Amino acid sequence: MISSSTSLQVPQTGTGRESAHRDDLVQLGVWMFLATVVMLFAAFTSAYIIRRSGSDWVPIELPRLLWLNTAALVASSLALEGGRLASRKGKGSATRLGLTAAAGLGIVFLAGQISAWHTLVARGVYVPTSPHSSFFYILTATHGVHVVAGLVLLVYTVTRTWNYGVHLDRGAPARLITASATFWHFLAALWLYVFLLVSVF
Amino acid sequence: MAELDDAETFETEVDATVHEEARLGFVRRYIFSTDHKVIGIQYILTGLLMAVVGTLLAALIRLQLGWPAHQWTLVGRLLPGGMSDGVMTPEFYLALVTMHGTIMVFFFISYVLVSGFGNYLIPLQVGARDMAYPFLNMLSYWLALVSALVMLGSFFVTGGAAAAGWTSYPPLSAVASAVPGSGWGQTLWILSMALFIASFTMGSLNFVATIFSLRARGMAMMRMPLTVWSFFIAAIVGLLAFPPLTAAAVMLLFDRHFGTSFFLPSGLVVANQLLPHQGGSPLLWQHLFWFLGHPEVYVLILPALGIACDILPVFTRKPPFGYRIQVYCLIAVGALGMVVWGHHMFVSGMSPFSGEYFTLATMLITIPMTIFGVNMMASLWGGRLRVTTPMLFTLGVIALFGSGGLGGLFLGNATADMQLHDTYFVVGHFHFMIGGVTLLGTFAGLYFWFPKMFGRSMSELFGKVHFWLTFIPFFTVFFMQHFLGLQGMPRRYYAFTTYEYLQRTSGQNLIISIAALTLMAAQLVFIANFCWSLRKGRKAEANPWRATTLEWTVDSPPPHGNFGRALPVVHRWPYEYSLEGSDNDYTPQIVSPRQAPVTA
Amino acid sequence: MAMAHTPPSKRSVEALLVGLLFGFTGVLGVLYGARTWLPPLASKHGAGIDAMLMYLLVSVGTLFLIGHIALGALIWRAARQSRITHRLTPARTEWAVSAALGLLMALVAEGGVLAIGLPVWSEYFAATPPADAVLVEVTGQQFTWNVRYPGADGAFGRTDPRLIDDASNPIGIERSDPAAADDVTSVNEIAVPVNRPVRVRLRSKDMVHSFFLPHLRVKQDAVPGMTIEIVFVPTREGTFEIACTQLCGLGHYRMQGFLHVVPESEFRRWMREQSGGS
Repeated sequence: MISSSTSLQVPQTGTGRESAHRDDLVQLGVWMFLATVVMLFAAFTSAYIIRRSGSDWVPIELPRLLWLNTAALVASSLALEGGRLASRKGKGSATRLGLTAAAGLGIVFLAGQISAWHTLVARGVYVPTSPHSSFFYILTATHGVHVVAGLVLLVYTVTRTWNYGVHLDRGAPARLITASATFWHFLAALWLYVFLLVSVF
Repeated sequence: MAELDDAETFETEVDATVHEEARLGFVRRYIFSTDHKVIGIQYILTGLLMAVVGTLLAALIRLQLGWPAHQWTLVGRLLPGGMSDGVMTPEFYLALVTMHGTIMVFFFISYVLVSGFGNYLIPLQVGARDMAYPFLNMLSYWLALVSALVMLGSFFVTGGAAAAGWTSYPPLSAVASAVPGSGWGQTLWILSMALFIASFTMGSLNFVATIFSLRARGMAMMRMPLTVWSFFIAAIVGLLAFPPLTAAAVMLLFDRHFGTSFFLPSGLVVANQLLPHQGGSPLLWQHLFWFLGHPEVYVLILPALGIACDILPVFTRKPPFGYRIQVYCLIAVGALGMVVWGHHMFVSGMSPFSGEYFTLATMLITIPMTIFGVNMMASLWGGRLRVTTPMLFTLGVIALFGSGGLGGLFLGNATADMQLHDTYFVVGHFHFMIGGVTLLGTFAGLYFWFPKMFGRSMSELFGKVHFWLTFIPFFTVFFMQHFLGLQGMPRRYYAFTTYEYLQRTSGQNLIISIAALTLMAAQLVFIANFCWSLRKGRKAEANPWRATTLEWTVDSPPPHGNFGRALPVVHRWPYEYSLEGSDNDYTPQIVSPRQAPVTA
Repeated sequence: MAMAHTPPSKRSVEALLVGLLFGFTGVLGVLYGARTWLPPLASKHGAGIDAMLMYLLVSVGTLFLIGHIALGALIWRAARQSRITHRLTPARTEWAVSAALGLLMALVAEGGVLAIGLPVWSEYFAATPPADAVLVEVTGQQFTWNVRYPGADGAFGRTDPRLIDDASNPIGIERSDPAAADDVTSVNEIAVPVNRPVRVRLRSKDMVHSFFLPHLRVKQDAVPGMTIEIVFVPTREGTFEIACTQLCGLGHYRMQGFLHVVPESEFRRWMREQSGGS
């Protein structure tokens, strides 16, 4: 077992990172958090599938507005990606524009979702109306809560870019932008998944 | 060059934080602190206080089962709500059972063993200055405290605390008229659990991120102490297994308050009232609950095993048997633990084919678990034993882990479980495992790291008395309960006197009650020792046990930032005891290969 | 540390006690366990369950005994040593020992399941009930077991939860249904003939209950919204208690029923009495 020859050099394993920058860890934290969100929606999905086989499943008609909301969220994701790419080239104003647009479209999405709820309520479709409506409200609300969290991160990133610029050598905003983009793209993908689940199944 | 610059800037940063720390007021240093050590100790103290509550609840349960229908006038005066004339009411009994389980599992063991020791030890043992996200860490503790307070508060609402068992099966937990505790008590239970999960998720994120990215130079994964490994696996399992319960809790809350029917089927008639619910599935809750519930068992037990594995070498003065294999076993148990939840549901009405799958999968877990347990025993071989208090509790962990694990062979087996399911066999089994292994592991850890945490040592004499007075009654109580189960005594029974076939168990129940009350009284020895040692214990040196891991290379208690000006550099694995060619019989991880040969 | 310099003889007294503690735990545990057994058996498939339990008690009991004595002996040996006699084990040996242990456990655990457990399990669940089986419907309710026989026509009358009235019609039988006319109902009392298969159709109108017949090794949850059928053969005459084993509310502990296993003739007489009474 004793292998002194190889161990005599200064070991290189382990990160030994004295100053692992906060924003670096944010990216790792975002990935882990997304894993928990995946598990959360996996649980909802399995419940949905089991409940779907019940005899009392009456599908509700989903508001058309959801398509517009979807478009807003996808556009928001694209804007953010544009801003992120601009930040890698060091283009300050394009970055700020992309990120701000992304946050704005995110707010539009949320407002649209609330408006979709109003449409349903106006039609007399409430949470307990049918299992389909129960799932619709709960899934959109849970997704919405995560969008709010994503918006907080995004707005924080936007302020950072306004205050510090996007210079690569400062490092922080670039990493932070990547982390918020990871989270935000995931939320867009998650919405597409939820939308598919409630409209197709 | 760039690296050097980095290091230099960081050193100034450290100095700045240390100075800043000195300037912080009492509140920021000890109350709203972001220091992992303070947070760890906050978790431990909160958990121990919750344990006192949970223990008192257990005492009341045992009073009822040992002396059914006896009039406890004095207790009745203290608890006019639940025992107005000195005789316990069934609703109070069910609330006791539910809250004892919930408090002990989530608010004692999780807080002390996982969050408490995890927060305290991980940065110190991997060589980091703090957790990866200190602010999130502080938030995690305060959410945890609020969660505990909400749970305790539920005793004081109309209808009393939740009474549907810690598993909260609907419809009992979903229909307010089903049982008194299913009113506000149950709602608070769900809210408290949601807060707990949020808090625990923040903690787990911190554990994984810290272990992943803040290890000191040279601290390869395969040089981490098994304690850190066990926290790592437990945190990953927790991150993946807890969110589904959040989903289930949300749905249960909606079933209770917003008229949905996720878990409530059509045609329910409760208290002669037809309920409006349609088509839900009670089994769905059971699946979602146990998808969390079973991995939760491993989240709790793995750290106890990790701690035991790390204490063994210190008091045998030799490396453990099969370090790598132990790591692989932890990983295997963590992974398998995610796919066996159905063994809690053999007689629930799920498909018998699932029963066969879950039996075979559950039996697979015995393989890594057996290897793990026997390797712990084999670590004693050829060593030179020092009988100290932490070591006594560690040996107790091995014994209970073996006994409890063997009981699992009965319950994981669908055919045997048909008779034993929901009897006292189950109660005995899980008290050995998530009750006993974790309790003794907690005590082993407390006695072992107390000098590090508080700079003083606990009394060895009282510690040993505490061990003897804990192990013997504990083993008696829960070993006997296995056999009560074999005789068919169902759990969660307010009284077993109704049944002819259970009449002959009253003597055994009496013995169990006496042993259990002895066990509880014995904990006063621990409390006294703990409090006395905090103020008057012998001053502890940096490394009183002559151990090798990183936390023992710094002062007791460690300073803010843990490691002074420079982070340690790790040159060897954590079990370098009795090394030939070394002056001492222990070689800390930071000793360079020039001074002593390296084993691994 | 002062302790390190204590002479071995003094150290070993305490270690001896600790070693004995674990050794005795093993021995006393087995002695205590050997004195206990289940309520006397009264069903056919129960013999299989008892065989499974017996296998486990013997194999697990042996491992329990060996394990504790070994732990005690290891402690005793390690405490008497004045130096380390064995520091590192070669990785190959560690793997070999672990593999052997894993194989042993796999053999004990999975072997027992495959050889004894699963055959009993699948026979119990896969058994197609014979034509002459007695059909009983049991509907759990807080805190009684509502029992119904289909009567001479062999068919149960329809039920509708809207008709439920705890006093007069606890399971909501539709009286207008012709099949309901000869349904025989009782509360907490089931009578079945000895040695004839019994089909129990389990339902629940409120909570999850569990239908536990300790002497017959029968346990099955009754879940609202589901109808679960179990089949068993009582082999011994007598009155056996039914207990609820799934927490269902305040009266969970007194949700008691009785299964009367009687000769064929007496069973017919009981059925006549019940139908006359209702």
